[in-house]
Amino acid sequence: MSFVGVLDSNSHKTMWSRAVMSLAAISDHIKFIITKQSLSLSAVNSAKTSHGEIIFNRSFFHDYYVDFSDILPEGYGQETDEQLNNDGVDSDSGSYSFLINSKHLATLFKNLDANNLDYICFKIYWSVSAPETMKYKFLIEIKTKKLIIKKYQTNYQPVFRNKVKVAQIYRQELQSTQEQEENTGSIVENRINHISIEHIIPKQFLDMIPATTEDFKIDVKNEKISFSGYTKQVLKDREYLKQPMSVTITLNLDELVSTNLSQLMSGEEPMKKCINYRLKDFRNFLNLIGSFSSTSVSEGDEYINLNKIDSGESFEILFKNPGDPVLFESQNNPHVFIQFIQLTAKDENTDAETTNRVSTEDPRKAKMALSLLGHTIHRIERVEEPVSRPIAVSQLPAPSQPLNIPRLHSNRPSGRLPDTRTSVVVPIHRTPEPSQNIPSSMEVEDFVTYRKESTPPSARRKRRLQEMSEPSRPTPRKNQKSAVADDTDYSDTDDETNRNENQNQASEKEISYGPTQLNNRPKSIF
Amino acid sequence: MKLKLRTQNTETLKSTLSLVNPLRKFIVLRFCPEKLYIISVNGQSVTQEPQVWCNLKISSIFDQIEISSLRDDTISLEINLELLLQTLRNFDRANSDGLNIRLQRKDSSGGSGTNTGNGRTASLALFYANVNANSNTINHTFRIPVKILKNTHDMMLLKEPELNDVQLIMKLPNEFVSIYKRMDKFKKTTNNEIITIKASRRQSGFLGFVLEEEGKYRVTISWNDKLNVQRPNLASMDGESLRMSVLRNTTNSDVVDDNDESEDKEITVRLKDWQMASKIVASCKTVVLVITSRDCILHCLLDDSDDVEIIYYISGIRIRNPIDY
Repeated sequence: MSFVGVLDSNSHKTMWSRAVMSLAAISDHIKFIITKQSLSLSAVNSAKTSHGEIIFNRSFFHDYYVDFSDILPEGYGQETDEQLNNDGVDSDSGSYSFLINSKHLATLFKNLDANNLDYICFKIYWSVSAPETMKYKFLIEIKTKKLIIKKYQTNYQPVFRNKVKVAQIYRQELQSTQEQEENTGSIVENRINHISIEHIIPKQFLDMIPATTEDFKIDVKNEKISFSGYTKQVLKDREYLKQPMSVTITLNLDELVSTNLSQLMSGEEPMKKCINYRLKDFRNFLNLIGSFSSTSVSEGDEYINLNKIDSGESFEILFKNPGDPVLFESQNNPHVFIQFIQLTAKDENTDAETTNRVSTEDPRKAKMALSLLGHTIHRIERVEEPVSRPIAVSQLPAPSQPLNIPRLHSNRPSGRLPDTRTSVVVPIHRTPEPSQNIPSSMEVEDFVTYRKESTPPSARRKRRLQEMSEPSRPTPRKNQKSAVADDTDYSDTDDETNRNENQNQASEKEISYGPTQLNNRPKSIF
Repeated sequence: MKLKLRTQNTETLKSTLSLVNPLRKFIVLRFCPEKLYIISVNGQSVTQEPQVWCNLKISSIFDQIEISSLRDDTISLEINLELLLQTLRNFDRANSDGLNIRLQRKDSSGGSGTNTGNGRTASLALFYANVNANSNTINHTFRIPVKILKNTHDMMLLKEPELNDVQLIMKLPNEFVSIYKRMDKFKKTTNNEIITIKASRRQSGFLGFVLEEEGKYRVTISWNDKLNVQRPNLASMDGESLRMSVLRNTTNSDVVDDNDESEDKEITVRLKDWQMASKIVASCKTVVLVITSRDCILHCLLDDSDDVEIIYYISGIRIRNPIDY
């Protein structure tokens, strides 16, 4: 067994269910990242404007076991040195990442009656030697108080970790902002602004505004901060098509738990800031942290309650300029960390100003670091592909160009490989075709990545990193994408079915492959 | 144009507004130096549908009043009623010492103060300070977009109906609302069903409602208890004197001839229009029914004082003549 997580406490079960529901509201897919220290759930909406991540510390689980030894390469990643330095995490920090359809999870965890459950247990068999039927499956086992054990399983899609770095960058910049301002005594341009606010204030505010309200604004001026919920009004023939009410609350900056906006420098004007963003996911975030605190209160857990009152149940907001992401973080429970990121709207008036300012650095680089990435499917073509390679070589018109093979192989047009596969009698148990989990959604297609068989492991990792850091790199043409997917899947299947059998069988199959490939191969070469 | 109001208690305003709420989404507020009119009319065809005119003594609702405009210090606004009520409810729940109301030119959509340049759009800002559980002082501001009505066309539509040719007036007892409940059962049959109201001074006051569907049924629901049905002396009179005469309960000097069929009056209205007044009739302390030759009017006082008058006008339908049929 490679991963086991068990939820025991009632409040934790409820929190888990709330977390899943909250992320399911953002996107159709929830990304799991399993490390030795924590389990993180995250979701990015399809427009890539908001990102939610909930990190459950291993202490959140009654039982938490991770074993990365002999792990399947898809989905497994290790932090590079650079990332490690920034994170300050110990060197053996591997992570396993995969996507699960959020609808599947939502149906299971919606209206979870925590009091009637004994435990919830999550299991993954990710070891290379695990039985075929258990691979790429997320297993959920629930035991009820009535001693019924319910078992669920859902397929998952291994992906790259694609860590969202906004929080990390903002935290660093906040620190440097503070240091600089302390040293120079003046306000740093392009600074990170920080607010910590009791969550009851925006919560009560959100309860007041009409449910149809679409946008949200944070406005700082004259030593006051105001939050507004509004809808852009639509007028037609002098009549309102949309009749929005705007609701604003204003409070003095000193009513906040803490902020770096009120450090009024002598001679400087009071700070003026204004950011706008969509309300929907902010509401989602506030509801989530609100429900997290209320669940533990209803549990009557005195110990935690005291801690909570001390910390004032606050959450933090970090923001920069219009157009940059705004970051919300909440750690009101010692085991759970909630982080939402939301891209803010760019005001057209300040647009020019902002671009001028950024142009001193490399704008693309800065932008890339702060953008929210979609998911990248992690696929690996195995090196030991006993069947296709020798044939491919022998079929090539010019055997002196073996270097081309991998590229040809991966660029093969669609429609060829399925033929090949049907001619083989072997596939008894096939790996679940992961692409079924993720319908051809844009976020996935754009980032399909695949491995070459001839690349040495070190180079492979380097290339993978390159691809991660520049996702806009042109991917294969559209009609070829599906070919790549088929191709990769085919070789995986082939590989796995063959692994448990001996080489002889493999060489027998060689022959059965021959004719199809012989016929098709020349056409596929450009 | 300037509108500045402050109040500590919104109870009266809120209950009046919630009585008007079921009728239409938008209402017109007309602020005058003495009165606040809450008007609910159909913008397209004023005469066809019921309209409600509430007039409230402005000094009884607000303790600070500042109204000024070029048109006799009168300001008329069209506003979304539900949003206004929501705001008043929020204020009620808050721990606050006063609600301020201002008319603002500013755009309500929170952008960087863009003025649309459209003379008719503005917003009504309602704001108050609230001290929350953690003793933080928070200022709340609600901006509801309004349309300022100032051109003559708008004002033409907004004329309080006159009472011409008043035939009968009667004060309805408080229990009268049970008649509405009875008639509710007939509401579902047809959408446009009509109801004939019959009233007479004969038989020591008669008020009956006839529901009829051709060839199917004919039901008469009538009030059995005594009703003080009166015939006013003047053919036309304003609401004030009308109400006074009823409230004073002047004994009717005329001797009613129980055999005189010309005493019987009737008017036909839409059942739906009549039924919509049920909430008003149920909540108001004093309800007076006025029947004229063409209209049927419910003239109500919200409480024992004269501060809030609610007048519900239903225009009668001409009795179908054979050619139309």
